Amino acid sequence: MTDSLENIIKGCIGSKSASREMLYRMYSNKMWAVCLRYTRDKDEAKDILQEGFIKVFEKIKQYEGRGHFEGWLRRIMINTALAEYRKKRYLNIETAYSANKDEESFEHIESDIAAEELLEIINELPSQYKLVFNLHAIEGYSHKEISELLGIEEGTSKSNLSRARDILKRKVTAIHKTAIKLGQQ
Amino acid sequence: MIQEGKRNYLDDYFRDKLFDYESSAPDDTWLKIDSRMKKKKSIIIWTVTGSIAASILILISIGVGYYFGSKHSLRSESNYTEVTSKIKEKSIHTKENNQKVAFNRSSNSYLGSNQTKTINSDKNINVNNNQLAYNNNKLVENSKSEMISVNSISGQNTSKQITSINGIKPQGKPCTLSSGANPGELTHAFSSTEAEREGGLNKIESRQACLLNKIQKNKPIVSNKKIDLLAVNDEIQTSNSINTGSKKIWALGGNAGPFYSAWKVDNSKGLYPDYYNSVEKPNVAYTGGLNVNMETSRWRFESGVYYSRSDQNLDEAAKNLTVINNNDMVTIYRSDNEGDIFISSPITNDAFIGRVWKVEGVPKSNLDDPARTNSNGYNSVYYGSKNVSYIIVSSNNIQSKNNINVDNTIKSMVQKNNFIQLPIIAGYKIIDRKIDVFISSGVCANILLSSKAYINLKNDIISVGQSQTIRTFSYSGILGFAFEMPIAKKINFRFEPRLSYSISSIDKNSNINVHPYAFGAFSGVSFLF
Repeated sequence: MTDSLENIIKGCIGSKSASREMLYRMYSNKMWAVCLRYTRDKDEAKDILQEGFIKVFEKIKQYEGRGHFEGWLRRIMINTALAEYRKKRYLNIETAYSANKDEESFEHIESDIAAEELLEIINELPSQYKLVFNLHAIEGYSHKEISELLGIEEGTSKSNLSRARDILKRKVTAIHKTAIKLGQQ
Repeated sequence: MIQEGKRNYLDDYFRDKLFDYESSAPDDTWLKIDSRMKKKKSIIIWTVTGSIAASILILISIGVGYYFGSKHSLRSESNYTEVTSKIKEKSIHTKENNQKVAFNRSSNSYLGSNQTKTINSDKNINVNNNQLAYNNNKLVENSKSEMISVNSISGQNTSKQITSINGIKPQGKPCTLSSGANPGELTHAFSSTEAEREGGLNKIESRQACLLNKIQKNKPIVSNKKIDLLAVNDEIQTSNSINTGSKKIWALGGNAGPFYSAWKVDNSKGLYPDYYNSVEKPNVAYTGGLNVNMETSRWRFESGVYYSRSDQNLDEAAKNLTVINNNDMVTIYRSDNEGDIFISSPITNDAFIGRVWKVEGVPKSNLDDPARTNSNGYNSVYYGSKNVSYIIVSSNNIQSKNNINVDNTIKSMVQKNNFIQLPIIAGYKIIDRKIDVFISSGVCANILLSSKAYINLKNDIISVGQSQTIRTFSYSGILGFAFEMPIAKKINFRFEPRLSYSISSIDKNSNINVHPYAFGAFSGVSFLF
């Protein structure tokens, strides 16, 4: 942790508005991108960003300097988004799906798709696939952790991940092929 | 199935692109977060402060009620028993809320309404529609009447000192009943407050009355209290009527007090009420005026005319303003398309654009008047040239600051609102003792007299004009908790913590609902007549 971040956190613990704003400015853009991945639209993402930072400011005394601050912040944002899902009952976890056997073929595709476009693809996934994919593939949560977070079986988590991968792979491949065609023309 | 821990290129691809991806967060989110954090803090402060204040008020009320209740009341069971045991057959006991009952000593029981009971062989008590008739001695109680009359005091302009009630001596000074100049009148009303003030009737409190022995002639005793206890002595020879009930008392009074006032923004469309509430700063306001009261035994109705001052303190608005010390001739233009105002100065040789709040000596209505435009080019109108010492503009909008002398000493912006208030309030007496306690509520029509905005500089106050957005008429709800006690024969003192909340929005703008509220304490006197 840098000195300046440490001072900013101390200021936040002391309820200083200026420190809170500095912390917000440091992390809001990255957390906004996180919120966009876990919500259905920008309005909902705004609410999560707002609620998440309010929780951060209220609970920042509990941070105690252990671990990576950004990781702590990110977990709060994700938990806030998941709580919203649970509250609005968006979750409809698919319980059984057989994985596609040719999933490893993706390693042969070379494509430079913009992050914004990948974000759009993820957001087109059904909610349950999107959550599991985000948590496992991008955040690095294990299936056991996901099962506890979402209240589902580990097998269900794996099944949903597999389904999400299939959909994403098809879309990425399609984009890649379109780009090749455009390049040939 | 996918093996956990096994490397997946698709996952890696997305993770590499998105894990540290950043996108510009919405501009307004921080304002919302900040305002909500401030509001949470203020709610905590208000809750703690309000709880402490409420606890103190409750403790004071309980203390006052207990003190006066225990020290001055005969209503305890033991005292009541002591008195009635001496009265023998002829006793009447009445209770609250017009529920009249007759005490039958022979059966040691009470009668309810619409019942007839003989106390002894030759004296009947008839209870019929809250009316008691004591036949042989013509002792009648009628709750709907407003008089207690005892036709049993002798002479005119005379007085009798009562040293005992059926052999029981009153505590403290002996009581004196005096007859007036006209037959049938007593100069002393039989109310507790007056009796206590006169030093007599020590043990006769409000809602209690005793008819005393050896009162001979027809003289009325008047009371505005309902009777709890009525003791009739065997020695009364000629008493023939007793009427109890309420008497209307009129009073003219004056009240004034400081108030803690704040404005609540609610349900704004497209705006952020949390944000606006967070930048509203409470002010100390004041209210004062005259009132007229009509009081019965338990109810009081009040109306009057009050002058009220309620300010609005807008720190945040002041932050967005800048004072330009010009000390020079300026020329003012307006761009009709933009809605902004151009000001040029020969010395700075520099025009700037800003939302102009105030130019010294130029009426705000002129600055806001689109009719002062013409079609001659984009900056179409010429307002005129004028020597000014200051110009106030929205700081964010200044497009050129070259050679402009900016004064950053703005402390705050205050909107001073003056109202005439016309309340209609009903109060109910919950404690009827030496110090009466009322709960009151009502509505109040507020008529705006003026609403002027000022900017407080470090060493100066600048008027920035009359607000055009405050409604001329608005309505408030009122809730009060009044303590009232006599301080002279016909003068009562009142202390009343009161809460008022504007029911209607006072802002003309339909996109924003503004509800001022205030908490404070009235104090004043009223003259009974």
